[in-house]
Amino acid sequence: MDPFLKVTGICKSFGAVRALHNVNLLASKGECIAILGENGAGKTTFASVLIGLYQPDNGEIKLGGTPVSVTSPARAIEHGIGMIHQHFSLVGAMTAEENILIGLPSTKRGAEARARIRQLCSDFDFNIDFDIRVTEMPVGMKQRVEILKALFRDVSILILDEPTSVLAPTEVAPFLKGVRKLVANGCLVFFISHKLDEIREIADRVMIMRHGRVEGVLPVATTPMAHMSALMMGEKSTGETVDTPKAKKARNDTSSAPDALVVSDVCLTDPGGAEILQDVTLSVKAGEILGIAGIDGNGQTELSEVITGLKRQTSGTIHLNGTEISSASIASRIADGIGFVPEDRHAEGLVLSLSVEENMAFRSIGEDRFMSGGLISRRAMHEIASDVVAAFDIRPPDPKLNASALSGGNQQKIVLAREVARARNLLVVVQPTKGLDVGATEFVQNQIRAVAQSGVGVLYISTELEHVLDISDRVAVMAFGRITGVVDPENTTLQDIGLLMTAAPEEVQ
Amino acid sequence: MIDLVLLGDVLAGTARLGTPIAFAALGGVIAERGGLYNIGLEGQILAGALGAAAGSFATGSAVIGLGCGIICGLISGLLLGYMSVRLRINQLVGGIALNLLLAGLTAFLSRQIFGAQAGGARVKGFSQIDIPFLSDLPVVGPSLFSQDPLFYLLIGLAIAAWFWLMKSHKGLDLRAVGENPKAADLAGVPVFRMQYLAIAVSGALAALAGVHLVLSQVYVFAEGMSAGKGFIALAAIILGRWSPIGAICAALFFGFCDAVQFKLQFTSPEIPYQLFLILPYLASLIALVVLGAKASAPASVGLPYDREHR
Repeated sequence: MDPFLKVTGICKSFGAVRALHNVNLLASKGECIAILGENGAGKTTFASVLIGLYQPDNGEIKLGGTPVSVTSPARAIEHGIGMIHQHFSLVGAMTAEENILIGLPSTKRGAEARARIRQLCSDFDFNIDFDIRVTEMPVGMKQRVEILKALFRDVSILILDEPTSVLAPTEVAPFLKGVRKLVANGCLVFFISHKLDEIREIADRVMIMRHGRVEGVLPVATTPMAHMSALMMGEKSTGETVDTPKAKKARNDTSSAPDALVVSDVCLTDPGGAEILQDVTLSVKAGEILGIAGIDGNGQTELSEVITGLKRQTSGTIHLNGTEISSASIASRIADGIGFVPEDRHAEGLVLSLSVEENMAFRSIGEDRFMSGGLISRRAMHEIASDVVAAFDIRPPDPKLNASALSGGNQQKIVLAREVARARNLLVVVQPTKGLDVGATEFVQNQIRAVAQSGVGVLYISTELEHVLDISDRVAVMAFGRITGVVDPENTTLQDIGLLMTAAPEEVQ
Repeated sequence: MIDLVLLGDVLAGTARLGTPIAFAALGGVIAERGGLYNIGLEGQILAGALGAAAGSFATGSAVIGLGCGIICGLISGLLLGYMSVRLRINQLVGGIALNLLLAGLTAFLSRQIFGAQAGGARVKGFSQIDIPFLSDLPVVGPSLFSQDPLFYLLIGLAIAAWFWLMKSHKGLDLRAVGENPKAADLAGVPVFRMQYLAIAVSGALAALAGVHLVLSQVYVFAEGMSAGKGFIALAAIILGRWSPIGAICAALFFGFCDAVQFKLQFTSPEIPYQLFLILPYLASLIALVVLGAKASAPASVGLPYDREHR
């Protein structure tokens, strides 16, 4: 008998970039296949081909033995293929119900449809508020709306693109439960992820991709994690990860070093009167990495913006190397040697429509090394960028490509490379490993360590607690806009930090 | 009593002067709800006006003139659609280009068609229709219920457009396209087809503004007779918060300001009339500053949708 889904020889290139190379796969109903790979391995591109967003250059897709051509997402829906994108595809200004009904034939939009939406919702134990617009929903609820949208279209193949990366830890378990239910109902689920433990928990088989090729499709239960990770990383797994024993314990002794950054009693009140930051006091010594841990939205982002000058504090002072910069402009803070890797690399870190080399140069374009006779020297720009691209292993290694053509991990490397070069005194990084795979995370962490070792103070803000504990010399915990405690990462327990992170406002002195 | 007569005059003027702006604004709302800026309204008014004048001139029938005007609008809308949807060029630039093209083309064609009579070829137009009983009401009767058929068409179209956009399934799909075309695409909405439809309808509605100018107001085509109405319509879209009904109200408000300034010109001849001419534009500026600040456009308006964009 023919397999339910048969994919043969799919190739897809974007200009000179080969995103998919001869991808083959057989899959049956009621199966959960994880797609594992580093950033830029082609996972999302493969999914986009299945869903009709990208047209493959070559190859064939067969459903139940019949070749199908998925020329548009509308055709994909006709064939029962649905996808939930990492960043969702919902109309913010509309309600859950409107979002689910968009695009359906009129016959499927009557009163019964509304009843069926609610029926499905209760079948899957989904908590969805049908009275509010999508923009007002928390992330987990938006995701449930997306899944409901796919379910309502009777999908038999559902592709989930890094579905848990946007969820709070408490939302993950109920989500995975819902996925299991889907699989049990006979749905073929593709689960794109780079979290091995999750794949262990949910998937039957794992398809491992690397550089646009399928490295293997293996049963999860009998494949050791180390083997999966080796296939995913290629030759690198025997190189970097083993050779660099977590350099974390090789900490600098910074106890006698001068303070690079001193933040004293900083308060920030938003126009609505809410207190975003309350009496934040902290200091970072030269060569020290101070981690800031905390649940997302407790003032960490705003703290980074106050320090870099994007927001002006309501009261309090900031000193850099003993000089007050409390009301200095952003430009003068940059000139003073503050580097900043912002949380949202797309919106704040990069100009996606400029090339990699332009992105690397634009904050320093007036410096002599980029100039020749008073004009920008394209050649110098290209040469400097080429060196950085090689040093940071940015792929594809072409500094003339638009930043938008690179994967998330490689985009982050551009921002990091640029900001590390600027950070003579202080480097502020916010969520530097968000959405990055294991290899890229390791690389980013090592670069940040190297910066600290050269005597620069680092403020490392992240919600990924393991990463914070791994890299920091000291960890300050933020909750409700306050620093609720400063701990030594080697002599603390997760439980202690958890308590500090969730300190209720009244318990905070 | 004299005040009531004055009020009646102003109301009638409001309806007459506001109708072309309202048609164009309605067209703009449909396009922008579908995610496309229609900056070409001004040119499309001219296209509609020329079509109406030529159709009526050739056949002596106002209804055929109306049809020809609508067809000219559809074609100009599709041309803008081709530039915006298929070629994905900047929609502001495309719209301005269309305005320049149509301003020149209509002037050229009008000389070809009307020849020596250019500027003087009177065509058959619509006459006013009195609605029984209602037109006998004092003040509002003669001004609002004794209008030309296009005014009633406008009211009907505005209500129909509102119902279609806000209550029908296809209207929901179109709004989704304007808010988030990728989401609409993934949900199975034929994004490009919807956008072509919206921009074609938008062109036809803008053309109706020109039809009204020719067949209900002056019965003659004149070069540049749109006189900025397409641009005031753009302001009416924002002021009306992208709602068909809102846009009509905003357009009629601008018509009202225009009617008032005409009256003031007659009643206060000692004041330079140029000051009164400013009034509608000043009102639109003030209204936009005061009321337009909070308005939120469809989220993806003006952004060309490219399915394979990374």
